[in-house]
Amino acid sequence: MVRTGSTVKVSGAIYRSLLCAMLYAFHPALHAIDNFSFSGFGSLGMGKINRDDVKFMGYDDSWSFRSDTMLGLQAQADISDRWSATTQIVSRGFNFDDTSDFEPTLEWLFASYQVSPEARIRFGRMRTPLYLLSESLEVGYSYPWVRPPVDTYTFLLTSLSNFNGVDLSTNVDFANSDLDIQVFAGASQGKYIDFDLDFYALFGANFKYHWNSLTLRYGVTIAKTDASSASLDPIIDAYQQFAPLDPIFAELADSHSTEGAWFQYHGLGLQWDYGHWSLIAEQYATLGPNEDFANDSYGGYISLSRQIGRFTPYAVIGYYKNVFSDDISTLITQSEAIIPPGNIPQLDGLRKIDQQVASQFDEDGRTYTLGLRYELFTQAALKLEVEYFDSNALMSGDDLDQKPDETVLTSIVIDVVF
Amino acid sequence: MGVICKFPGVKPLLRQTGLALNTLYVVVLCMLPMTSWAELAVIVNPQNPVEDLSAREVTKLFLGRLRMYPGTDLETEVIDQQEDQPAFRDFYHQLVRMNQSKLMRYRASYLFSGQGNLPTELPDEAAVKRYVASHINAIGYIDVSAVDDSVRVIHSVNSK
Repeated sequence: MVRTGSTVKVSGAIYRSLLCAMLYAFHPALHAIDNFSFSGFGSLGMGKINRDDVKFMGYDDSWSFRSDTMLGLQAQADISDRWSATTQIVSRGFNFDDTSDFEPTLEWLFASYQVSPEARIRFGRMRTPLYLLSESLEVGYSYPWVRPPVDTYTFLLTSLSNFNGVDLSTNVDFANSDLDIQVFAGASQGKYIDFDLDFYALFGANFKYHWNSLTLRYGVTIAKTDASSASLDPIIDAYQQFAPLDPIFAELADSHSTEGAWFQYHGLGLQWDYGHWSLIAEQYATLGPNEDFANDSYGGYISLSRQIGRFTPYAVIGYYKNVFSDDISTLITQSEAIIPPGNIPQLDGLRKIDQQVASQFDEDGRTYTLGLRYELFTQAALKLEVEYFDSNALMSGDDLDQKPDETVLTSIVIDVVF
Repeated sequence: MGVICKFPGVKPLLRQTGLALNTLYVVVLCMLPMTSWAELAVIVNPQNPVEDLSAREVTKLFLGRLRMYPGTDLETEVIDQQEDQPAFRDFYHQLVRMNQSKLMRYRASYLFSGQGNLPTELPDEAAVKRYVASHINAIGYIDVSAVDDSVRVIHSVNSK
């Protein structure tokens, strides 16, 4: 299942080994570091939704300062003319995994080597460049909105947001335009709410075409994925108890996790600046193996903004659709042919609950956002935003399918860079 | 009247509407940008092996999308002026086609997506010229009237 998320929590061991590797790699050059730079970005946000029976990103019906508040620090060192090292540590008020609030996590630690005027290679932990804004996802100052459009960015990206590996980028110049090409390979793992995710082989390529103020982008990433959730263990255990009756129940138990399945992430993006107008649009498709506990998902958004002096009003329309693999419901139907309902009450109950669980992952929704960005000063912006959700697809809470669909989220954020 | 050709759109306008009637407008159109924008010189160290750079190459260098001088193995060191300097506004408006807030947003996303360093910022034109004169990697921009033998012009912003 791949409505996934959450940053890879830095275990001390990984951090130490990466650090050691880098120190080792650059030891002869360490004395030559003459150019260190530190910088940072941060957001102080507050928000609330108009109801108390669901939550969105930790927001409920009273004002909270937590979910959009974060701080990032970055250090860069030029080790030689061509070698540099970059690290970034981010502390967030809200996490989709089990990271404590505001616990600093190591987002990046990579070394970069400039091969030629066009080509560069990087090693270490980096941002996974899934979509147009993935690499600067949390730098609120850099985009018009309070947060990147949630239909595309909120859930999918968090546990896949980093990877450990290598990337190579180059630029091809044409007469009046040029193309950035990036290829990467590595691995990642993480947690999204109660799902454990292991992306143990990850490959991707991006193509970014620039012509004047128009940017077009296509990116594809494929990841061999294991996914499982402890919350499904009771269902798995229950099916195992019926396994002696027929092998189909062992198959049903197995279908509640995903092992070694290839998932594909495709993203098309467009950014166009015309005078004071700016148009950003993206469309993505995540394609799973269409079996076991997996899903396909689709989404996108279109955003239009216009700068008027210090003000930039904006409007965004987004959508999101999750199509859950029908493996489980097919298997349940087949098992009903073998042991029809009415024979074992416990089995009937189990199949009913399981159908409900599976159907929760078939969901879709739209969002409509209106907001205003105001440049406070050169390195700070204030944003006010109202977002309307027409479904509970992106909400968290119990029995979401039995609750009213509409939610309004109001947010205010101050973004700074320094 | 040779100046007219530098402004796209003026020639078609001329053709469409007839020269005599519109000469005045054309003159006014030409004079407005000429008076409000300074003519800038993109300068490098005299030792720099690169002969000249196109507008697109300069733009890419200042946006950090090109990190070495084209056709060389020489790293660039991009020198910027402070935002309150008139040359800063003129340079990014005329050459890069970005206003200040757009540029700041671009740079935030560039820096914090790990693409590389931002330009070194110096307080004024004199400091930029001094720096470029003494650093072989450096590239900066100054008003054309401030150019002297200590630096070499590699691109002129008003005479593309």
